[in-house]
Amino acid sequence: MREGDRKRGGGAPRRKGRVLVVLRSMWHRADGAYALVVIALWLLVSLVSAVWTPHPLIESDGRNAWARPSASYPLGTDGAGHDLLSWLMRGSLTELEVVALVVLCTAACGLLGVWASIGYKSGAGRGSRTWMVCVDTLIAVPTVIVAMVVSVPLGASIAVIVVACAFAYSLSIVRVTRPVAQLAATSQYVEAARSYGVGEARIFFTHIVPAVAPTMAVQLSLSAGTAILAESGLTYLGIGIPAGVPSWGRSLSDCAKLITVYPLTVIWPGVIITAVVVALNLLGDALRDCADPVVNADLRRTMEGGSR
Amino acid sequence: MRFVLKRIVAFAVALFVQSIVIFACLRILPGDLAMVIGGTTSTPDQVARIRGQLGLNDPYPLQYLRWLGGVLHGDLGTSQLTGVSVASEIGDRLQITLPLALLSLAVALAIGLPLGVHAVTSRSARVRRTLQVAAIVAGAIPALWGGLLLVMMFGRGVGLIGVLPAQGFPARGWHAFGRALASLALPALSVGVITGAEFMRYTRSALVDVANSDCIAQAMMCGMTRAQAIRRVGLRMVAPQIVSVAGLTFAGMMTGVIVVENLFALPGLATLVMTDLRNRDLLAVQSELLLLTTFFLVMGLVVDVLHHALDPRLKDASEGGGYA
Amino acid sequence: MSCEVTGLTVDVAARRHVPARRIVDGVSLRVGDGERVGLVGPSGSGKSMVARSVVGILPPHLAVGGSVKLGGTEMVGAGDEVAADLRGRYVSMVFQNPGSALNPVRTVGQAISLPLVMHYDLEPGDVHDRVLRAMRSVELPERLTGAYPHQLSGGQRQRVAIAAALVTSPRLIIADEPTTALDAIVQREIVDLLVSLVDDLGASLLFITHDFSVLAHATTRCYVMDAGRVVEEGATQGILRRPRSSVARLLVRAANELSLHGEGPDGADMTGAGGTAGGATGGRGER
Repeated sequence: MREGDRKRGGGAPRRKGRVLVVLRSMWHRADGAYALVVIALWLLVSLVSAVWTPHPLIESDGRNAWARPSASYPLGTDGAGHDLLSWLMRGSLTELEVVALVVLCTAACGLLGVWASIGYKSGAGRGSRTWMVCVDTLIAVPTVIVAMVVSVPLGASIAVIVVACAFAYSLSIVRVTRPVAQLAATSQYVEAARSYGVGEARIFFTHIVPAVAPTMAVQLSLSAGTAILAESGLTYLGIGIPAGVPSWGRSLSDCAKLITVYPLTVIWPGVIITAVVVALNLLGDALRDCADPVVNADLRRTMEGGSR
Repeated sequence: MRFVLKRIVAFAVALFVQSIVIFACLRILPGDLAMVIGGTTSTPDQVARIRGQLGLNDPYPLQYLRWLGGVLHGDLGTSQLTGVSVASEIGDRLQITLPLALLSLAVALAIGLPLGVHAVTSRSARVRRTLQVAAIVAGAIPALWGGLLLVMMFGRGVGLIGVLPAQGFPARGWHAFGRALASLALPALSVGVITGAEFMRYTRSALVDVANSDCIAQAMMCGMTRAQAIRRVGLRMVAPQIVSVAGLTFAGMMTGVIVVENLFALPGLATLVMTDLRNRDLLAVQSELLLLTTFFLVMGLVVDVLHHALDPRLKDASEGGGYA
Repeated sequence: MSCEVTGLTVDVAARRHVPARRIVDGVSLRVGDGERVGLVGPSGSGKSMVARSVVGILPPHLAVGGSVKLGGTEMVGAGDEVAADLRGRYVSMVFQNPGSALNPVRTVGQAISLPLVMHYDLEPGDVHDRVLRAMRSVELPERLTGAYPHQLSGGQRQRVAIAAALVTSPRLIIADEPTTALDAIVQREIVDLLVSLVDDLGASLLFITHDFSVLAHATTRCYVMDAGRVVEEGATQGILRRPRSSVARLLVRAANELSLHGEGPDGADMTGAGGTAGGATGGRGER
């Protein structure tokens, strides 16, 4: 009986049960609970801001420029009269886009890099060794430089952030997961599967990927956190999110200009960015532990119970 | 000794390869230097003439060799837009960025190492937990925000305790030593605290790995308390790793401080690269990127050599010594 | 120095979803002045934990209860400074794996002199003399003083560890499976060396192992542990001849069957119809 059939047949309820167990285990941890709450709030605000914000993002008149915080403008306004709170809210949606794109691209490039590092049909061919040397050289390229160089043809855009972060973290993933990937690639499972004529792609996804998944999860969550920090820096430098698009980095840079008018508005964007980045970093750690049947006893029990 | 020589050769080869990569990458970028210099009102003839003057019509290998030859003679080219030699521009910027990176590294190590050790040796679980949380939060702060907060507290003219300059670098540079140092204080603190949090987590994690090893147990059996053993023996054991991370972090800081340089109006190296990129001043950018890469590779070399010196096992492995 | 352990318990503190676990459950033992006592049991029985709690080097997430008296000083709850003062001066330990116990960046000479330097204010010349004397007693040549652990063989490393453990002439030496990581021939040499040095010093020895055949030679009394408890105690020879608990019986049989010399621990010749068969017959016949 083929592995795929077995999974498809009895797999559907089992997989959902496993996800719930992982989530519940994360909820029981202090760091996991914090991460889940903050990320849920972030998602909520993003979705809400997609359809509604306290004030429209683009005010047609500039009457209320540089207003101090008040009941109708809880965080005050900027030089064009825009409500800072609305911009901050809508910015959360932009951050969501940034993070989603970065994580997806990093995961894809990372997996590609892992596949290249283990070599085709062999555990450690010459090709994969050359690739690893390339990785070690490329990893020394500062992310800031990559962003700057990429911004020349692309201008200020979200692509600059995505390319720079994905570049740095996919290389990091390749380097950090290499030992585990090598081990999995030269394991007897894989030898046996190859001898049965199982395709390379299937071998990769069913044997190699699960082995590197925990490390990758941590790296991906770190990349998500860095993406937000990178966005704030690159937007400030003018090569990140373009002007006119709300983002937390834009709110932060705007507040930098406001520092002489009303210094305390600087507090909010920074607090939000820090809180969310902390949540993303903790998410990676909590996920790595709770999704690992060796560490998480509840998950192990669920998986064993299902297979009987 | 043989190890150091081998490593230097590897360094030279890597540098050579990097120079080719930089050269090639920049040629792929769209945009024409000749047109930028000529300006929007220039005619195609004028642009062509400028291009000929700059030697941009020559085949790529020739341009590459011309550049490389210049570099080896210490001539990094001339900035086409300002007419100043690239080497002197870099020199000016380096006198800000290099000390800034060094100061930030010093702050980061001064914060990260002791707190990292304390996070392992402290007998109070609450202290250990607080330090861990503080490290996680401090590492998540955007550098821009950290800088702004410091300016709000200590910046002259704006801050509560306005003692330190929040903008610019003295025109006389390091000849006005006190003022120069003061200009770098807040920027170095912003970067240093955030990087310090990273060092703290790294040190703590490295020490936790060795804290339950037999080596620490043996040190305790010789008469040390657990805290002493971790501080004296554990730190020494993880020193090679920490040196590696510190070296590479330092190299990364040369560009990593760009946001802070911008915020505090410090004319630094990374800002130079960005300006030149925007202006398509490829010749200047080439040399600048080469310098940055060289710096990275040099740090890698230094770190490897230090690593080698700190661990007698590696020394013997490469020279084949032994008693038994 | 005598060592009195009464009702020792070691618990792994409860975490998140994992309840607290007891790994040592009410162990009592005694090592008198000048005695050589064994602590034997299968892997995971908690013997190492007992040894480490006696000297207070357990990791902080393990909670120790009960009473441990070293030469009359209560160790449980006494604080790290009190324990550290005794460690290296009156009580020392030889670990199972000298490769991981010896500091890789310190030379042999430095490793052996460390206990001296920690506790006594001696002239460098005196320190050097005592280090050399310690090396002579473990039969290590003087030229190895500047060597690093990775340059030595397993047996040499263990000799260094023993020299470091004896250089301050301690009153109690704890040997935690000192021969398990060594090859069989070297094992016997090391045990003999350790025993003779301990006797020369007139110190007490607590010898921990899972191998009964080694105990027979090294100890007069021993305790048998299983799953965190002491299940049998008495004269070593007595237990070897008449093991009462099932754990002891298994360990004794294993020792007999694996004995290199084909002799039972009490000297009875087990060779004849093949080592194993002879051993089994001999064992059954004796019961």
